[in-house]
Amino acid sequence: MKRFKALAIPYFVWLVFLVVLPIIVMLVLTFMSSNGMDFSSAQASLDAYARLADPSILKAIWNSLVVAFWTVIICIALGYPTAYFISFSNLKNKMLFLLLLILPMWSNSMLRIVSWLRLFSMDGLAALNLIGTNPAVIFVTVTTYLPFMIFPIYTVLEKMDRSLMEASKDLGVPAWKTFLKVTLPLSMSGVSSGIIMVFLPAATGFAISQTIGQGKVRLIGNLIQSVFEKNNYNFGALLSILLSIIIIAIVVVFEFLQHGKKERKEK
Amino acid sequence: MIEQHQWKRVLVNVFKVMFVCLVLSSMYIPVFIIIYQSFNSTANSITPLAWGGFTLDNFAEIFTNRHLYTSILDSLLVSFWATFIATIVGLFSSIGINALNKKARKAMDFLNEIPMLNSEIVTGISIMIIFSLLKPIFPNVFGFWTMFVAHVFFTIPYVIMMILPKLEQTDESLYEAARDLGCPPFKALMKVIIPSLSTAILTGALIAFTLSIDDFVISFYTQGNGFSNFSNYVYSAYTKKNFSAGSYAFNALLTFVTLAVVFFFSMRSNRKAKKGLIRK
Amino acid sequence: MRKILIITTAFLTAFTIFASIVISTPSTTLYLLNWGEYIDHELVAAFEKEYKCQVIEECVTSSEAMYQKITAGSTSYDVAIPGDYTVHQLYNEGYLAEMAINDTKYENLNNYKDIFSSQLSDLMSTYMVNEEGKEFNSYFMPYFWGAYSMIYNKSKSDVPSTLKEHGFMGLYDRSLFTSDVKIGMYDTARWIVASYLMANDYDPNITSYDGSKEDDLSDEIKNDAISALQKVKFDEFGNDSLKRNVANGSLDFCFTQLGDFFDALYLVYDESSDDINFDIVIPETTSAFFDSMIIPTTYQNYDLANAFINFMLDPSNAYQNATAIGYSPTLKSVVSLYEEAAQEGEYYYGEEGDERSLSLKDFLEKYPMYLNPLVNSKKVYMFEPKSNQYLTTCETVLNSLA
Repeated sequence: MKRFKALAIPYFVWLVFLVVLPIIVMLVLTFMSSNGMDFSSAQASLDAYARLADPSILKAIWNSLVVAFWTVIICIALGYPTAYFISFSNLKNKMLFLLLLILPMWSNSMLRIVSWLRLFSMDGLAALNLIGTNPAVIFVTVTTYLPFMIFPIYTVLEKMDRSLMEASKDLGVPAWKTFLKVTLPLSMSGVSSGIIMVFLPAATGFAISQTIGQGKVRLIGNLIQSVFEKNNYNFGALLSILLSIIIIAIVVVFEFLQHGKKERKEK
Repeated sequence: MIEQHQWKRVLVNVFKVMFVCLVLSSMYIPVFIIIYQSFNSTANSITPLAWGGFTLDNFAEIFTNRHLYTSILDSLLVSFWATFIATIVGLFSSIGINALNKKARKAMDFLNEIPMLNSEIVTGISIMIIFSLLKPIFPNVFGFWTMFVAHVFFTIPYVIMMILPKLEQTDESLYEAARDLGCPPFKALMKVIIPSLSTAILTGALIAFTLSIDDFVISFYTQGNGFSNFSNYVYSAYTKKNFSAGSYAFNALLTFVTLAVVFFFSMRSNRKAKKGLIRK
Repeated sequence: MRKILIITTAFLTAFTIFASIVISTPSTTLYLLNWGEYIDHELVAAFEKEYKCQVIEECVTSSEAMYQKITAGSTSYDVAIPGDYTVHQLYNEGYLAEMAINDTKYENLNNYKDIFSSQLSDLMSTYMVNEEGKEFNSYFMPYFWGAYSMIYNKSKSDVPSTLKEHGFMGLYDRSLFTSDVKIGMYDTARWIVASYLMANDYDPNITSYDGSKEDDLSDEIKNDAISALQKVKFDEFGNDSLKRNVANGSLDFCFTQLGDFFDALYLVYDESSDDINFDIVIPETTSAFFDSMIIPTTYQNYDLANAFINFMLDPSNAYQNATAIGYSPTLKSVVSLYEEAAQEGEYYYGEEGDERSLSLKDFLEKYPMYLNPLVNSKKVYMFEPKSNQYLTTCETVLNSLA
């Protein structure tokens, strides 16, 4: 099958065109002062970089990370037990449960967010002043992305060799110890892909913070969106690149930690 | 002693069920609100969620409100085509990537991961910027084509992610055998390798469609010339008085149809299983 | 394998054909860039029918977004309805096409010089002038107008009197109220700075306290605005949602534009039999605004664009539009249509004998600012076009809350 190498070429070209080229254009944009994508009056300028000094940008990035962090933590706390209980239950129809998890995702996510907003602003709940607070944004983000945490964990747990746990049980190891020493380490790969799949949209989205945050919760996504709306492509491009670097750095560090652990163990 | 033990087990089980129900309910509350709103005659009232009486008018809105049905059709049009193309391109690219040597493979894997790791907002902006460069030549480029390219772009990696691992597990000797029997290479690929990947292809296509139909951010940056999608319709209209309650109705309808299809298939497979038992 | 492929392609083709027929645009299309809830859709349908075309409308929520969409957006619009200072800026930068004012087909464009209310005309001749001091009225046709104001909910007894007495200062000083009030603010950066300046009785266009107007906002004003914002801690930043939240009581009052109030009024009249529990106050020191129909130089269909503007300026159409939307009409003829109808005892809402009905006469007496937004105001400004630097600084003020 080695002869089909050539089939990778079109996709490679496509990726270069849509991944590498935009990065180059964005880099160029950051060193200019132009009116949107209209370069007729463009000048070389470092204004975009000067604007980074604005403390509100650091705050927005920090707030995004805080929101994403808590979202991930709560998603693990809710998602892991759910996946575990379903996977280790003696239910005949596990598929049905999976289906129950998938079904809400067939509802449009924007509409679900709007529904939360309406619920939070109902007479009874409005008194709690949830709207416009970080916890409310985190809560809605959790309910939106929770399936992305449950599925990878569930898949790993399902594939796990049950005889390992039985062996541990036969040896008289208490259940909680079996869980900590056998099940949990073996399911970490599912947890880590779940973390990445939840963390990314939680840290970079702007729809939930815009809708539920009512202008008071400002994440980096909102900032980028508003900068582009103001036609400042230069600063917008800079923020986009910055966001990509931060996200990729976090993912790389995270995977390095995972990987490092495995290697140490193998030794 | 034994009785106490059983009690404990019952309690643990009750806790498990409660926990799962709690988690599920957190995901189902918005779905129930959507269904509630789809039958509510004052779905868009100033007092949030006020019940104004039962109505089916909202379902009629799906076919009468032009803004709404255009956005729904736009969504479907982009998602169907994007899924179709992304699945085919993803399939053949996977075969190509699988054939690469180790070094080239690593580079490709990395490139392929970028659209997945990159935030949606940056992906959307990247594609918007690329197409903005084309605007002087094609002034009306924004619309179906931009959104279609964007959706193909962000769904292909997921298709590849589904297909590539299966492809690695595929026994190459099958292909060799077909070749030895005088089958031309491409035909061997189509007749032997691809059918063995059918489950992975289907899963990949389903994931691609699910992501594409629900996408908001990337479509936000690639819409134009009156071509938008359902998520963006909701986002731009939900604060307004002419926001169509048909949006809720459409979504509820989709939920009901999905449920019916699932129910139908599970009944059929159940009956089949029973028949099988009887024959035995 | 082949079967699946054939079925899929057949389905896709069939669906594409079906969708394109349903969505199908008649050969001519008018791309309209508008604000949300800012045009009577029946009127648009009538226009589509008369000119056998399709109007595709896109909405934005801020002047900056409007500017961005016109100058660098993904669509080339035929007609847009930006606010006064954006019109000015677009004109200065050469993005406005002159309208066909001499074409006899478009008679409402022909006599543009004397169709607008005199108060509005005065403002236009003061503020809407080019660098040589000349008016450029053939480039824009006013659509609706009004004044910056505040909507308040009547549930807290001290709110109305305090707002009437202190004007916009009520937004920035919670200590003026005896109870804990919830305040809403527009999420438009420039309006925040302007409201802060007007609250302190300054011209909203100044860049430093000595009254000068430079390229950028002085650090002094910037820092004061930031600390004022941080002190007052608005309960909501929004746009369309603000008026709804005042009407349903989740906010006590908010900064807004006049038309928002009437829009909310219609909403409540439409959907419930509750009493109207909110009202409007236009402070003595305020700014007027008007939005204008313009044709961007990137238009795709110049004739249709002119026809559309001409259609909207037709007195009976403009009257219908105004009654549907709730913003104040700009045309003299429409104002007189209102007065005529009031004389004839026409009903504004509901029918005679209906408990909830409101006659036009009562309405105009109760809300005189509808036809005359500046009736109670002593000092009236208008926003002037500002540099990007200035707008960026305003953004910084808004973002300081993050």
